[in-house]
Amino acid sequence: MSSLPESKHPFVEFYGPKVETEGDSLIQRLRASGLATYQTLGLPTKRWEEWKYTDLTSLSKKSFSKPVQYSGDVSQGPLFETGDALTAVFVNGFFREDLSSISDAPAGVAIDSLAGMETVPDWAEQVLASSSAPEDHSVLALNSALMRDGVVLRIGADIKVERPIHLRFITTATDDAPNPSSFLRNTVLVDQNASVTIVESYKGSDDADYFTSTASQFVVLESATVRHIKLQKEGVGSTHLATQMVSLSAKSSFGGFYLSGGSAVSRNEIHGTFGGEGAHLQLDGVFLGAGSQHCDNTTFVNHAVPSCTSSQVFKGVLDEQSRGVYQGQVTVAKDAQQTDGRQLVKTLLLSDQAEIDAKPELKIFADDVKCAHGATAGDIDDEQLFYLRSRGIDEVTARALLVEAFLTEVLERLEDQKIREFCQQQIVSWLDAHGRGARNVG
Amino acid sequence: MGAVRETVDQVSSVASDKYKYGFVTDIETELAPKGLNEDIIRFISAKKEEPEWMLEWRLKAYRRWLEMDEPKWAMVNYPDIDFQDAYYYAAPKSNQERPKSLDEVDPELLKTYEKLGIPLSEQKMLAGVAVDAVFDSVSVATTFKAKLEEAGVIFCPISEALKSHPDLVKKYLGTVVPYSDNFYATLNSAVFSDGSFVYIPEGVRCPMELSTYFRINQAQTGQFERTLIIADKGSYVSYLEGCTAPMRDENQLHAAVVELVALEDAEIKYSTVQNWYPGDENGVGGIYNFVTKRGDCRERNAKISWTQVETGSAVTWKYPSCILRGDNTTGEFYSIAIANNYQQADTGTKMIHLGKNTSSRIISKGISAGKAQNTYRGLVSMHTKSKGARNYTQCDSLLIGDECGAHTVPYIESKNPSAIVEHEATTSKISEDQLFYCQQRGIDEEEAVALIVNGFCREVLQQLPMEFAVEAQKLVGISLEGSVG
Repeated sequence: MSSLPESKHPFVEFYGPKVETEGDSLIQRLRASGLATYQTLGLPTKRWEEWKYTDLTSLSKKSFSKPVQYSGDVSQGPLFETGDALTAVFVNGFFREDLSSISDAPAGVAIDSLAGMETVPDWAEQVLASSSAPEDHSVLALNSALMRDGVVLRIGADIKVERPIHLRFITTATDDAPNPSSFLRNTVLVDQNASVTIVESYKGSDDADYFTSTASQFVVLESATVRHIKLQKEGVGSTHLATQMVSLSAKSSFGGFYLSGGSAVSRNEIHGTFGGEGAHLQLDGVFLGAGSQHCDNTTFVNHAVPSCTSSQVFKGVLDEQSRGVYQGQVTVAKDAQQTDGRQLVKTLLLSDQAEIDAKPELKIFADDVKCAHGATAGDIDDEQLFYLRSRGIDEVTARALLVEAFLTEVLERLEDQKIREFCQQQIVSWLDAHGRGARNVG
Repeated sequence: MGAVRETVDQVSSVASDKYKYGFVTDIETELAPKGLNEDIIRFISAKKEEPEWMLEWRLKAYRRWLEMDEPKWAMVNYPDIDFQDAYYYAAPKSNQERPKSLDEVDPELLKTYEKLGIPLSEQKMLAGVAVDAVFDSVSVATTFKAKLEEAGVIFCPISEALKSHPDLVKKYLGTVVPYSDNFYATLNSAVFSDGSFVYIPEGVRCPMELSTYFRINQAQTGQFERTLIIADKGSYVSYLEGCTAPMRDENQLHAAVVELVALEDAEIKYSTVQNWYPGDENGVGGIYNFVTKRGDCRERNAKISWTQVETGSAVTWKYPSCILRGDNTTGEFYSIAIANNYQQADTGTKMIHLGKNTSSRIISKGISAGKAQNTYRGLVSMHTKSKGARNYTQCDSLLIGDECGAHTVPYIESKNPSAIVEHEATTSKISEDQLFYCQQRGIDEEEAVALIVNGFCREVLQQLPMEFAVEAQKLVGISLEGSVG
């Protein structure tokens, strides 16, 4: 047991020597180095270029409850009914076997909870060690220091998993933890030529001020295919910080879809790196903001090797005083010829007080590449509105139709029909709750 | 590729001829002591017989500068600058008594300008360009004064304006770029030596295009011009600025400030062809060009248009901006930035939309070759009150060779739903097809590259006044010599 130096940074006091520092496994070392990095850097400030538009100072002013296991009832139903999905449920940051259905995982699919494993297998340690995010990433370092639980998943070579794997993360205020905090780390290895759909969903109490720190690492080996869907509908008072890391081998493919509609402050950060030629990365997202929500989507795509393609489409609809952020950085390394990298971000501002900040960035060090980005911001097009209204559709309906149509461009990129329909439903109910896209003149 | 190799060898063998403006004029120069402190500032101010308030302003800036840090966010790398290791004032000695006419100007100086192709003489009169030539820091000669005076236009060195029109200078100086704006602008505010002052009175369309040719001659001198242009209600002016510097081994600092003020219905068109010495093929020498340029469309219907062709400088750090304060105001930014060899350019613009129905247009063409790094960095900001504002941005990058870099860093901030922002960017290289097409018709590779690049830049070149457009087209070709193969 080592004693910790006094720190002004929040959450450091959660670093329980008992859990984290015993032994000398890779995980322990990761925790220790994460803590050291976090203690040096602290939480990001707006003076950091990558955090220019997202302010986390509110985090240090709040006090959160230490992560504790909760085994009581969870009144909340699932955000997403996946029917036949293999489901792993985590409540307040810890795995709940009683609510999960992973025991009947098909052959070739190994699924466990990190906290429940006596020893973490070598492959999982390797995945954990192979972060595609930079080392001086304080939010990730904080997660590394305090990671408690999460899923450890491996799809064996040539296995095509038909049933989606659903990771449900639920936060609920309890007597022990009125303001829960959870630190989740998911580790996913997809072997050669395998294929899988992984859904992450986040949901929590609207009446609690809570904090979710989550990080997921995906290592996708040759010719494997991963479809990753993340649905974030956390409670309105919460802060949600997610870091997704994706490493792609040759000819592999990763298609990510990120729907963000919850939390007071949320950030979904994705780091994608190509390690082999002929791989494809697709990152799409929909962000919906209302009230005083702040929703940040930040992506870093690193074309480190030749002949890979990346494509991103993010669309946002912002109402009331909400604020949306999209930062996308595509880097093409010196020898990464034949790269094709595209980014598109479009935002509808429905209110005079809403704000969008977009920074689609290209850093290109190779000449034989095709890279493009586009960005637009504005209200619904008057002419489109007029077209509908001249056909007898009232303004509110017409606006709602146009907002839906605006978002459809992203949804159509989702292959899975069930998930697409679910997202569509989420968007419709959001529109219903927020004046169906009506102009909110404040 | 044998023939190509040959071309490259030929080009490098005549490398020293490449920068044709790289000569040094041998004139005695009066220097202030090396280094920077309050005494130097007092010295500069006294030399220029400035009013007391000007000295106070300079000192205020200097004290502020001492507390500031050099900006490090740009994608450029250069060794730390020792600000004490430079001369902050250099005036040609033979010019202590200001000449009344061209005949009195030192013939050595006139020769310099001739080599630069600035016809200060009769020919230029026919061409109809008035030149305020800045040689190192002191304005040497100003032509066409009489004709401009007739129209009521004031066009003179800013040091002279401080004596003849102190009220105008005092009213507008520092209102667009405050003395505390940024590290280099603050340094400039403290030590600026000279620059141009232009005032176009109400309703006047300036009868000719105004032009300043800047030139750094003395070794180890920094050049700190300060330009202030005011276009009063309903007036129009087109201002041209060209820059060259001699070839030297050490790096020289150039930190200028340009302030433009456009009042109601006024229009200012500001064109720059920047051809400072870029350093040699190995990245030795060259100018550090850290410039703050900003225009303020202060009242309704005003328009400010920036056009720049940046081919020179070892390091460029420059963001000509528009503050669209008045309703219905317009800002434009047309840019070509070419970086070859070890050049580094981080340039772009800021369009700050404050007023209703303001519009802005950004067309940026970046070309990287050799081992150069070229970055477009721009901000489009729609404020809450910018109802009905519009922006269109297009940033295209062209890469020649696989050792250079082209980067695009746009910032888009919108707080108004009725404001429409559109941004597009592309990156590409010269295609084999295009080259083949040209070569097949007997155009050699270098010429073909110049042709294709000129086509790539056409939208911006078209914005330049005619005389400049021709020079700029040539520069585009020269800057890229030796970049293919």
